Amino acid sequence: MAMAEMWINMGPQHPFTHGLWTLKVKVDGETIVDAEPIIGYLHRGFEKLCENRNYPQIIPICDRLCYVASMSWDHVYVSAVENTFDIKVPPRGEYIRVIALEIQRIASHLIWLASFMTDIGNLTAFLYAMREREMFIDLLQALCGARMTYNYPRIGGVSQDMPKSFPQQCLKTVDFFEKRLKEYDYLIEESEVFRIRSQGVGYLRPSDAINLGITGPALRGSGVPVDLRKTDPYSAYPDFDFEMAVEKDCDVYARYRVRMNEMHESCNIIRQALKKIPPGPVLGKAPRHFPRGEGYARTEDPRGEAFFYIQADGTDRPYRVKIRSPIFVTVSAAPAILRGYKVADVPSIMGSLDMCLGESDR
Amino acid sequence: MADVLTSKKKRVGLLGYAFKPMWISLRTLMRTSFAGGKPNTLLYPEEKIDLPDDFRGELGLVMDRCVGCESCARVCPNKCLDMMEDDIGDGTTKWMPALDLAQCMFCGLCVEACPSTALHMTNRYETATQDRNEKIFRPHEWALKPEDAPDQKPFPYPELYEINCTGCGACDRACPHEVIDMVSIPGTAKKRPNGTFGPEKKIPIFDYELCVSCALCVDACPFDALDMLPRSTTASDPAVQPQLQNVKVEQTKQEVSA
Amino acid sequence: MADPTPTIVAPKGDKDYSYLVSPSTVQEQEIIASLKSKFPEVEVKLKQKGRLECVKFPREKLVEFCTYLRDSLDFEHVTCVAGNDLKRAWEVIYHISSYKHRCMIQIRTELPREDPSVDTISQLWGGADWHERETYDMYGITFNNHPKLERVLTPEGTDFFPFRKDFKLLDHWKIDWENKGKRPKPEPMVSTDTRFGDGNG
Repeated sequence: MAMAEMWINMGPQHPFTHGLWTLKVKVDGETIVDAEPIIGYLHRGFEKLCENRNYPQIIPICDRLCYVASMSWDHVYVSAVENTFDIKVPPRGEYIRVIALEIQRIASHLIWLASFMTDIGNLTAFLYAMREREMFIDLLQALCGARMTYNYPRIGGVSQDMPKSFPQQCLKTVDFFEKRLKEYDYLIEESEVFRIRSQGVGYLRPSDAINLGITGPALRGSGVPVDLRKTDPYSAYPDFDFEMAVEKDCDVYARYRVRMNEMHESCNIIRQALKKIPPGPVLGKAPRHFPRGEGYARTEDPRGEAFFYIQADGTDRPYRVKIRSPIFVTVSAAPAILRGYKVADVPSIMGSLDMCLGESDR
Repeated sequence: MADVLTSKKKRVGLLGYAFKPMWISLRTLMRTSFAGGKPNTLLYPEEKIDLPDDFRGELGLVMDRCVGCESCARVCPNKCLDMMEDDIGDGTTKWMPALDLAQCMFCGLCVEACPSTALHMTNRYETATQDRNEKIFRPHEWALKPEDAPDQKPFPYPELYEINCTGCGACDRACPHEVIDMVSIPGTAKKRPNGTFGPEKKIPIFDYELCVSCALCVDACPFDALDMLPRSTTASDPAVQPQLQNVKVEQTKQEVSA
Repeated sequence: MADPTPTIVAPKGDKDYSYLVSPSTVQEQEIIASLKSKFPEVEVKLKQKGRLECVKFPREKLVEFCTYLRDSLDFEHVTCVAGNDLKRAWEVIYHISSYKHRCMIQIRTELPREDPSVDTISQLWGGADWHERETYDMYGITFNNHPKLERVLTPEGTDFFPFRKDFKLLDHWKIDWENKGKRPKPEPMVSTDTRFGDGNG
């Protein structure tokens, strides 16, 4: 006998919503028939805000787009401005940006790991991941003087050169972190409880993933080898030799594996960048007056494809700024992933998508 | 049914249920507790974290150094700096920025823009108060002693990239003091078809003794021909040298004075 | 222990996408030539490597053009759909990218001021769905045949479109120095937008 279908509100205040959003699920007994995400609680009118600020003043508010991956959003904005006005960045500036971006990627993935593990029920891993993240936050703090809202890249380079002791400190941290990653394998992957809740849950077909616009680790977890650092290279990424993390299982476990492997590759890139970094200035000459023009940049954010479109009309402020947030699109595809699973699988599936509401509500 | 999904499953068996994860936890416990181990946390109000020198905390103003150029108020994204007259302590008043720290977002753009190293971000981060109006400071209320701030850097002064300059005189009109003087270069007049000569090309000459480094001329220049550079680096720094066309400017300056 | 089997079955034999690792040999010029032969009245330019551009696109042709892009030229992914207020007209800007050919096409479509509507492309790419909803939410541009054209970011029942250029913002706080204990309320900004451009690049 089929039970009556009903809608259940999960959120805005719910342990599984990392941020402020609602997931309405329509259930038939325990099985999810339909779902509808509701976002917008954090909408600040970001794009309108940018239209009323001049170009250098937008960089610090880009930090507030995503509070766990500020550096990558600064970088997207800055590289969009550089593409629009053909501004050259000195090679040392590009290398420092890559180092900062990769440290930021590890820090962001660790925050994801921490929050995902609390969803799964593994509180020890939460504490461990936050502990490791502290080391990377310290590195970024040494670079630019702030812990979370960095305001580090500038149009034409970065604001200041790295401190003298930074390369050594960075290498030490990266080596230490790779040992800790092995511990995670024991703590998380060897746990049967984790495997039950992640393997075979949240199946996302590759063709659906592409059509629904899902990008980043969720797409690579479905076996589609697309990483903009490789397929549409920007900054200094063509100089480095690294592997793209792809898993073919299409489930929550595959997305978890992709992110863990990406942290390994980020360590790899940081090592190469510190080895190859050329001397020279870090900040090129940026114009004070910006001509008309339009341009865009897309980069591989920790959560997917980040995109900034800028229209300049010759004044000191942009005429139109459009931000594509990866999570905004990914959460719109949530019903397709959730359909057919049980209500108890919701935290596991949505946790594997790495929600960040600051960037999706803008 | 569902064999596609479950076929690849790796079973970790009974050990995986408890012992392997527990072993990691135990090891970490031993590492941090016994035998010279170091705990991962700090007892916050008693112990505090070590901060780097360039940590971006609460803002401070060195009143002696401030030249009142308003660069910080212009660059602030949140408009939390407001210029006003205030006493510097010995009875004389000066045009200085006041701060609304409740609106500050610690981006540090004002510190970068300040030409006289008068603004400094201190290491203070415990800035919470009961009332947000307590966070509005008149200039002397957020003043720092000069010895708490880093050493003063050399003032940047406007430098001319002569290739871009068209002699429009926008910088001259923007300058609040009489620093800039538009000087014709002899021999640059173009000959018209009817035999007469057109106007000679003009370039700005700077009287650096009067300049307060406010960068208004740089903002006013429509062709990006001016840039603020520390005066000491222009002569010695090889990275800056090839971009600058200062030699010609110096020559014309001598000609004018002679 | 209960078997954690999900209730849906993964369909076997889904397409293998591992060929995306190596770039295709198709050059941008071939894509442009193919588009030229199919749509002679549309002007597609090559801006730089991997970046195609198409301005002043007629809005009637959009779905036909996009169907051709998706089915014949392997543009699998909608990166972004953006609205814009040009003051004399409305504009929708599409960025559609191809994983296979590693390039991206930008399509700018102008809509007349009095009739801001365009056909939806969310039937072709599911990823465009929420982008179009957001554009409707912020600019009031309607997308014909869209499955669910509702507000996304602003609450239901909002009766204004916040990103239009005539929408008045609040000014910054001004400190009242005479009366230090009080913060005056910010006043609506009386359109200080004195810019001359219309964003036409």
